[in-house]
Amino acid sequence: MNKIGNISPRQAFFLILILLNGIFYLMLPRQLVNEVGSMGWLALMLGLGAAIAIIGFITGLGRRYADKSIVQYAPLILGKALGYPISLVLLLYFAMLAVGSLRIFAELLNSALLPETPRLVLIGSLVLLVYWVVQNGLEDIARVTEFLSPFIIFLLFLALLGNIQYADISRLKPVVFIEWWKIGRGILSTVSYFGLVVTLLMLFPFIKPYDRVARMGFFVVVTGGLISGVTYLSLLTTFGVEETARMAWPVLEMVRMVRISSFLERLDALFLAVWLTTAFLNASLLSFCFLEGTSQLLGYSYRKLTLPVLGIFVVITLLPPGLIQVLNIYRYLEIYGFVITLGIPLLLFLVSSIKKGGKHGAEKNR
Amino acid sequence: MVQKRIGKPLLGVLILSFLLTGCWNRQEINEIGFAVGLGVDKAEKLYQVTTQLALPAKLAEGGGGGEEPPVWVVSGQGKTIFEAIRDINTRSPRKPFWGHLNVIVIGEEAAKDGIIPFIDLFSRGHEFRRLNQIVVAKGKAREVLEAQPKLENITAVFLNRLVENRGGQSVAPGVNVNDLLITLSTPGIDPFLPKIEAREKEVHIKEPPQKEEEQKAGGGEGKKPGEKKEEKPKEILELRGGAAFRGDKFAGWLNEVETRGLLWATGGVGSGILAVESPWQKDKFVSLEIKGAQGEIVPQLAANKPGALIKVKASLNLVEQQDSRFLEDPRSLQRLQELAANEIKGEIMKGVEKARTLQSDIFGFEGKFYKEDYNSWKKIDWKQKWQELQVNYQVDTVIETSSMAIRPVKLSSEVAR
Amino acid sequence: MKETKKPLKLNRFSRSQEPRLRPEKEGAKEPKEEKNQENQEPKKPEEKEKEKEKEKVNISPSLQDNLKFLKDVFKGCSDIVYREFKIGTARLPAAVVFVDGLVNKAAIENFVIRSLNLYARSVPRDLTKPEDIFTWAKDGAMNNAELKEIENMDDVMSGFLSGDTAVLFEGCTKALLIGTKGWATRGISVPDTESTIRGSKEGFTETIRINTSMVRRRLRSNKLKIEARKIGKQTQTDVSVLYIDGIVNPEIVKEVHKRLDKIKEVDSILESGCIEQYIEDNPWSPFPQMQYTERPDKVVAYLLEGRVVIMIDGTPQCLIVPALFVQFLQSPEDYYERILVGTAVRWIRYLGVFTALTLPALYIAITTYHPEMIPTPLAITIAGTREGVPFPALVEALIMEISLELLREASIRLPGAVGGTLGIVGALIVGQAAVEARLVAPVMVVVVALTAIGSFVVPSFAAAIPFRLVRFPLMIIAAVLGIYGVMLGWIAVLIHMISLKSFGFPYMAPLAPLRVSELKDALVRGPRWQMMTAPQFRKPQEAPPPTMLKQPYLQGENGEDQGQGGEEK
Repeated sequence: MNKIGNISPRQAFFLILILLNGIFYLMLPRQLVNEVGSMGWLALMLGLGAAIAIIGFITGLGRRYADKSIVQYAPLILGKALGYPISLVLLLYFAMLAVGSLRIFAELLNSALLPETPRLVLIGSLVLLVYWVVQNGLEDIARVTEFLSPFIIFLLFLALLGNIQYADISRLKPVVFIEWWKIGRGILSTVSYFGLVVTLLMLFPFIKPYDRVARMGFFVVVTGGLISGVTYLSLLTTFGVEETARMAWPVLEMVRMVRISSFLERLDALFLAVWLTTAFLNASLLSFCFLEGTSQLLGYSYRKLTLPVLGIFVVITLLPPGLIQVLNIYRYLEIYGFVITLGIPLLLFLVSSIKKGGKHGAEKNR
Repeated sequence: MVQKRIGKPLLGVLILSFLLTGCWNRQEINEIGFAVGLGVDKAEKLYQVTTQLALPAKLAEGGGGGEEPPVWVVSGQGKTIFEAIRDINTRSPRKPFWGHLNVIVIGEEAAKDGIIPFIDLFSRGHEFRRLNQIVVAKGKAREVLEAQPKLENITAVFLNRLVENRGGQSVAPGVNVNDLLITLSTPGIDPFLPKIEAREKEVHIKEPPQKEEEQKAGGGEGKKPGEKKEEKPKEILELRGGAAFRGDKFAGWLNEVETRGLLWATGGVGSGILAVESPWQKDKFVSLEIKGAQGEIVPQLAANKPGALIKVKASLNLVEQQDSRFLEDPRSLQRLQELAANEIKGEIMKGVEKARTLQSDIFGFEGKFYKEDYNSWKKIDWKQKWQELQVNYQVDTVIETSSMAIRPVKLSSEVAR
Repeated sequence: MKETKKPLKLNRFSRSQEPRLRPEKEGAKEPKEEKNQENQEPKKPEEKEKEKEKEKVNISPSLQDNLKFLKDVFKGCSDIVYREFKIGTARLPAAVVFVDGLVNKAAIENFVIRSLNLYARSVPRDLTKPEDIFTWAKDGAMNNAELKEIENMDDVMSGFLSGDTAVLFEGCTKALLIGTKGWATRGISVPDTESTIRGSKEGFTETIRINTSMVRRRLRSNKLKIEARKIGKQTQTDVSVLYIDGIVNPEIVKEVHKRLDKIKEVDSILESGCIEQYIEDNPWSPFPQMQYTERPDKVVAYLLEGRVVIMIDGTPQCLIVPALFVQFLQSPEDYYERILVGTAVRWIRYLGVFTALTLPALYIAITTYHPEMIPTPLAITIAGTREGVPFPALVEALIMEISLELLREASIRLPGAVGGTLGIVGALIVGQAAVEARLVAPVMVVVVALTAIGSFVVPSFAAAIPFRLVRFPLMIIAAVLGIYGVMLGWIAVLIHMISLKSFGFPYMAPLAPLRVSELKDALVRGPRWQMMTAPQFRKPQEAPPPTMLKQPYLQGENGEDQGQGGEEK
C-alpha cells in the first residue's frame, strides 16, 4: 500500500472534482437537454441529492473498513460468492469509464481540433502518458491533478463568464412540463454522472485522514453540481433547447463563443487543449482504480498489469466507428452506471449495517 | 529502471508520432487561403459559393496601394455548399481556411429558395463559427463581395465593421449564425436579417426618411448598375434595412424606417437619431439622439384572439435644435417627449404593417405566446393570425438635455421678442 | 491541517530513508531490495572500519625508518620537504615534513623549527627521554594555534597533504601535527554567476575554511554545526556538512551523511557537481535536484530554513539540499526588495520560464494548426511575411533556436567583452540576414529573441538549462499534434517533475502537493514577518523560532495576529 502513496482529502477533492467536471462533463448537459429540455434543473437537483446519499453510503462503509477498498471488504460483507462478482462488476464499470473518457476525448479532438489525425495516434499518445503516471502511483496522479485543476477551473470559469454576454433568459421559456418518465431518464443520467464518485470506494483506503472524506465528498458533489448547473443554464440561455440538443459538444460550442475582444477570440483551440488534460487525468484515475482493484482481486502488483490493460483499453476504444455509435453506447453505459453507482454502495451499506448491528463489532473496526 | 521510467514514455511519444507521422493537419500559415468573406448565391439549381481570399503578400506590404485589390474573389458551384467550396479548390491552389471568416453574405435568390439547406454547414464545420455575421444581399452575393469599398482593404472586414457598428442609426439588425439558428428552431418567430447593398455611388434620400417611395427609387437604381457590372467594381456598400423571412424563405425587404420600428419593439435599438418635427415652428426639426431603448412585446389574449402590446421605453438626448423655442419650460419638454413617442410609435406601426403585408412574423408575436403563455399558444389557431392580430402600443420617452448649450441659436429680432 | 500533514510527512520520509545511491526504485521488486540493503547496511561500515584499522601503519620509533617510509611512499613528489634537525641541547633528532606551497613557511620557521631547535637549548637538561621531550614540545614549546597529537603514519600523511606540518621525533611512536595551512588563494570576489543589485557582493572562494568562516560570520550561533569529512580516495577532498541544530529536520542530516558515506570509495571530488551527481535522487532528469550557490547570504538563508548545505573544498559552489523547483526561480534579492516588487519580479520570472519553454512550440502549433487563434490582420501579416520561406515552421524554428544555442554557447566561452559583442552580432546581424534571405519569417526572430530573454531571467543557470533542452522535443511534438501536442508535452514534463524527489521531498512541493500555507513564498513573496521560512524542512516537533514574526512598526492587530497565527500553526 505504501508504494502507491497516500493522498490528502484536498487532493481527493480535486481528483473527484476533475472527474465530475472533466471529460464526462461534456456529455451531461446535452443528455439533460435531450431528455428533459428546460426541466433539466429538476433532474439535476434530484440527481445531486442521490449523489449526496451515495457519498453517505460510501463514507459509512469507508469508516467501517478504513484500510480496505471495496474489493477487499465486499467479500467480507456479502460473502465470497456475492462479493467478488460485485467487485468485478464495479471494476468493469471503471474500465468502461476509462475507455469512454479516452474515446470521448478522441472524438472531441477529431471533431474540433485535428480532424485528420488518426484516432490511434491521439489515444495512443495520451495512453502513454497515462501509463507513465499510473506507474508512478496514485500520489503522483493526485499531485498532477492538484497542479492542473486550478487552471482547468479557471478556464471553466472564464468560459462561463465569457458567455454571459450572449445569455438571454427568455430562451429558457417555455418551461413545459414533461412526462415523469422523461424526468426519470434525466435523473438517471445525472445520477450516473455524479455516480462517478464511486471511485471513492476504491480510493478510500488511500485517503488520510479518512474522517474528512465525508465532508470532502459532500463539497465535491455540491461544487460539481453547481458547476454543472451553471453550465446547463448558461447553455440554455445561450443556445436554447433545440440548438443545444443539435450540438455534438454543447460545452465546447460555448467555449467557442467566448470573445473577450476583437483580438482575443477564437481561442477554443487553447481552451480545448487545456481541457483535454482532464481526459488524461480522468483516464489515469479510472485506470488506476481498475488496475488497483484488479490487482487486489488477483493478488498481483498492478504495475505489471498496467501495460496489457492499457493496451486492451486502446483497442476497445478504437472499436466504435463514429460519434453517434459512441453516444448510443454511452446511453447504455448510463443505465449500467446508474444501477451500479446507486445499487452497490446502498446494498453493501445496508447489509453491513445489519450485520454489524447484530455483532456489535462496529466499534472495533473503527 | 529510472532511465526507463523517464525515457520510455517520452521516447514513445516521439517515436509514435514520427512513425505515424504525416503531420496530418499541418498547413503552413502561408499555404492556406484566408477566406474572409463568403457569399452564397443560387445559380439555377446549383449553389454558387463565392469566397474572398485575402492576398497576404499584398496586404503585408502595406497593400491596397496598387491597382489590384488585396483580395481575390473566386467562386465555385455545387449541389451543396460543401461541394461548391471544394469546387473552389479547382481554381485556387490554397485551400480556403474559414477560421478567419468575418461575414456570410446570402444572395437574394438563394434566400428566396430557403436558407435551411445551407445554414447547416455553418454550424457543423469546425472552422466556421457561430459568431459569424449573416447579411442578405440585394441582388447577388458575389456583387457585394466584389465591391471595393474604401477605408478597409478587405471588403469582408469592411462589412464586418459595418455590421458591428450598424451605421449608428439602428436601421439594420445584427444577426449571427447562432441567433439565426435559434430563431429558426423557435416556433412563432421568423428570421430577420440585415440587408446589404452594393452601389456604384451613394444614393441619398431627398426627404426626411419617412417616404417609402424614395426607398423604392433607391432600390430601382440599384438594379441598373447590375447590368453593367463588369465595367467597374462598386465602391459603396450600404447596410440599411432588412430582409424578412417566412419560415426559412425570403419574404421581402423592410426599409430602414420599418426596420427600426421592428428593432424598437424587439429591443434592438441602441443608437441613432430621431428627427422630430418641431411643434412650434413648421418645417423645423429637433434632433434627438437615442441613448438607449428597451422594447418588449407582451402577448395579450382578447376573446381567444391573439394580440400584443408593444412596450418601448426610450431615453433620448436633445442634440440639435432648428427652431428657437426655449425648452427650459418643463411642459415644452413634455410636448417634445410626446412627439418623440409618437414618432417612435409611427415607426413601429410601419414595421408591423409591413410584417402583416409580408405575412412574416419577424416580431415574433406568436413566439411570445409560445414562450409566455404556452397553453394559449396551443389553443389559438395561428393560421388566422394576420387577420386577427391586434397590436397595441405603449411608448414612453425621456428626453435628457445634457449638452454644451442650453438655448438654441436665435436671430437678434427673435431675442428681442 | 497540520496534523494531517505530519503523518504524511513522516511516512514520506520513512520511504526516503532507504539508502540510495541510485534514486528510489518503485515497483514490485522494491520490498526485497529494501530488506537486503537493510540487513547489509549495519554490517558494512563496521567491517570497513576494522579493515582500515588493520591497514594503518604505525609510527616507528626510528625517525629514519619513518622518513624512509615517507620517502618511499612519496617517491617522485618533489614538493614535499623533509627538514631534519636536532632538538635543543638534548640533540634529539626530529624532522618536519610539509608540502611546499601549502604551508605558511614563516610559521614553520619561526614557531616550529626555531622553537624546537634554538629556544630548546635553554630548557632543563634533564629532558632527555624522547617521551618527555615530546610532551614538552606538545605542551609548551611551540607557539602555533593548532596542534594535534597523532599516532599513525596515515594521519601524518593526510595531515601534511592538507597543508599542516608533521613533526616526527626520534624514539616516539607519536607525532605532532601543526596547523600551518597557508596557500595562495583567490581573494573574495563578486559572484559573477549570481549577481544581484542589492545585497552582499561576497562570493565563496575555493578554500573551504574561508567559506565556512563567511557563513559563521553571518551566523554567530552555537547551533550552526559544521561537520567535516573527507571524500575521494585520491583527492581526499574536504567536505563539510552545515546545518543549524534545532531548526533542521535531523532526518535530512542523517540522509545526507548516509548518502555521502555511500560515495567514500569514489576516486575524486573535483567540484560540487561530482558529489551532486552521485547523491541526487534522479540523475537522469534534466532538472537539478540540488541547488548550488556561491553566495554566503543565500546559504545562511537556506540554513535558517532548515536545509542542509554541503561545502566542498576546491570549489566556490556549495550544494543546498533538499531543493524544490520553485526555489530555483527565487533570488536572494526577492527577499531584500519590497514585498510588491519581490512578488512582481517573481511573476516575471515565471512568465520567463513559460516563454522559454513554450513560446517556440506555441508559435509552431498556432501558425501551422490553429491560425484562427491569431487576430485576422496579424495572421495575414504573418502569412505575408512568411511568403517565400521554403521551410515548414518547425524547421524554421529549429534553425533559429539551434543557432541561438550556438551563439549562447560561443559567447560563454569567449572573454567578457568579446562575448557581448558576439551576442549582438548574432542576434542582430544573423537574424536580420536570415530574414532578408527568406530563411525565416520576421515573427520567428521575435519569438526566438523572446525565448532567449525568457531563459535569461531564471536566476539559476542550472535551472535554465532543462527548459532550454525540453523546448526542442516540445517544438517537435507541437509540429506533429499542434496545440494538443504542446499540452501533451507539458503534461509529460509535469508528470516527470512531480515524480521527482529531492532527498525524499517532493520536488514541486508547495504547488503539488499543494501546501497553501507555503504558497506565500512560492506564488507571491509574502511579507517577511509572515514568512515562517519553509516549515516542511524543519524538525517536525520544533516550533519555529520567534524571530521575524512581526513587523515591529506595523501597529495594530493585523501584523501581530497574522504573525502569531503562523507561529502557532
